[in-house]
Amino acid sequence: MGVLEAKEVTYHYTEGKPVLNQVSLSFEKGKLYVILGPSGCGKTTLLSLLGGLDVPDGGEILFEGKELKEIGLERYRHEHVSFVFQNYNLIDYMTPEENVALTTREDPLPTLLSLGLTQEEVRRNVLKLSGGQQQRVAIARALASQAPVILADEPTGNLDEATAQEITGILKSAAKQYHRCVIVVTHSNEVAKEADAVITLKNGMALL
Amino acid sequence: MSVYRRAFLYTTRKKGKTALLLLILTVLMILVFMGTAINQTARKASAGLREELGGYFKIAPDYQKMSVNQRVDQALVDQVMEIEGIKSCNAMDLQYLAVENLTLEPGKFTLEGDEKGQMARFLGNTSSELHEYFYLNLFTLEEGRHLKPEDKGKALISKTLAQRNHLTLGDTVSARLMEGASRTAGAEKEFPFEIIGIFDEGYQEGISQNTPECDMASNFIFIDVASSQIINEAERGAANPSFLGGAAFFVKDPRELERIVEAVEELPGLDWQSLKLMVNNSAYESRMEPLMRLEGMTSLLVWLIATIGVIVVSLLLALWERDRIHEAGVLMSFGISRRNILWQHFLECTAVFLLAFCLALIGSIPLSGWVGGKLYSRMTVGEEENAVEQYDYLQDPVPLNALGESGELEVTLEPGAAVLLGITGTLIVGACVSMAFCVIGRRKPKELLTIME
Repeated sequence: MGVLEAKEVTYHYTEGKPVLNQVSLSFEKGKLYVILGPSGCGKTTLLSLLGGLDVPDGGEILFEGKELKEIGLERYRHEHVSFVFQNYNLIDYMTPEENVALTTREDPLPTLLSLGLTQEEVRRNVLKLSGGQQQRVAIARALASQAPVILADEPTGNLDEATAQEITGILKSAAKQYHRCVIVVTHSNEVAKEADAVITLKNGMALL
Repeated sequence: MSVYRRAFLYTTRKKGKTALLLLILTVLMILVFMGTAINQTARKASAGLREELGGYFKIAPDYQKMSVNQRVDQALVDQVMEIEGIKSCNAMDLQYLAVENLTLEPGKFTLEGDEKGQMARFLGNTSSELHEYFYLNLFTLEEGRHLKPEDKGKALISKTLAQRNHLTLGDTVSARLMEGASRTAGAEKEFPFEIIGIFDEGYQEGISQNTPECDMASNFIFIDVASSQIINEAERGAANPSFLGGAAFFVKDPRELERIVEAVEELPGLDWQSLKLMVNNSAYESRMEPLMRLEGMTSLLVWLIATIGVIVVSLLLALWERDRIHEAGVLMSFGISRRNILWQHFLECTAVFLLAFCLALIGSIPLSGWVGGKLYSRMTVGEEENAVEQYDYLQDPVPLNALGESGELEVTLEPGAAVLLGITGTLIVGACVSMAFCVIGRRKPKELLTIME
């Protein structure tokens, strides 16, 4: 049994054809998963459902065998899952250190430094950091939360090739080194190459 | 990270927004404080005036009538005093007596060499402090004490008269009936009075060389009513002495005056063909009118400012809340509850409000006094003259500056009111934040994240 499971998940945006149709998937700790697919195929929707940001119209999402509703969506998002977004989603009035402190009571500095940020950078306003540095902060925030599941939506979408490669490496090491279940939604085949498993979404169906 | 830290970081890092909100709230609060302080002061002053200038009415013989069958005597006074709502009374008498040993303030008769130049006005009173001159602060007792009902052979003289004649408290002044005045056989000729008080008659407007000595306030001598009755008896031999000046009755609350007057008019045995009843609420009303207008205006102002304030702050917060959809979505993606985020926004606005509250409190104190004074003086222009015109002096020539100054309005804000405004303001800010938060509160976290993208 995986740490996170989607069982026959269905989701509609409007009446008619579902964007996700009876999708069943299972995710394990220590692995990097990549979800691929054309735009509008429901990748981000699936990630939102897995992250408890939305609820499916049909089917269920299970974390360690328990349905998310049972755990409570807020509690689930607080304790068991963490996000990394394409546009970083850092709080703009906080420093990197303070952004990471949002998800942990531990000292955020070691995590930030381990991801290559300097002492000076972690106390700067986040908007004064480069895209790559901001994404590092976002990953540090996800890692610091100690959540076993990290969901990343196009984490390299706004980055140049070299930085994207570095970020992919960090996410992979998060799965391997920190024994997390990392699920990445991407268009990038380069990221997919690093994955332990690639899931392709097409016509609302998940193909492994 | 705690909600308090997040709120602190937002408030201190988003300096522009904080400063703008602080400015708006400070200006609004200054206006509200000023309005409330002026309103409260006007209300307090009204209440004070009710106490101080409480309305009164007089019952006096109507000497314009051909025949006066009934006069004001002690029995009538007692009958009226039984009506509920009357707190005190002053029975008044009036004589013109010669004071040969005194040098009066010279007037018309002195210039003409007439012996009436030595004639002073003697005003008999049961309680001189209740005489209109003192009651309305036209005259002020400077030394000694007022005449009381139990006094006999006592007098109050003016400061001018005392200085002119080198008289002090304890000295005696003598008066006698004018030559040619009818006199009861065997009655006393001389009436000595011990000076128990010296009053300041103030500036006398309209006094000229043509003013008779007895009409000059400096030459007024207030005496006890018992002595006045003895003089009356000596002069007219009246068995049942009456009060020539009538009696003034003071009510506890001027708002009750109308009811009490109606009750007096219905009293049995009072001949309203011989007596006249004069209601004198004009001093109260003339002083009250600007205060009432000020009270009404500031009430309206406070409501208007509060309404505009709520609208402006609500719009501003609603606008800013849209910018925070991104932030709220991110926080919710970490499992931070909507309630926690709302609490953060409330804390931020409340902190700014409390700072604005303190600044406004400091700033409004001098401003309220200045604005209140200006408004009050604008509203009292014309009121005093009007009041003097309305004032019924009841046969007594009262100087034109009779009503004196309207007085300065000392504007202060009660601490209780300030606290109440603080609580109300916080609640309003809370309501504004809650309304603005609807844009976030009603959406799912996924929607919030999608909107910002």
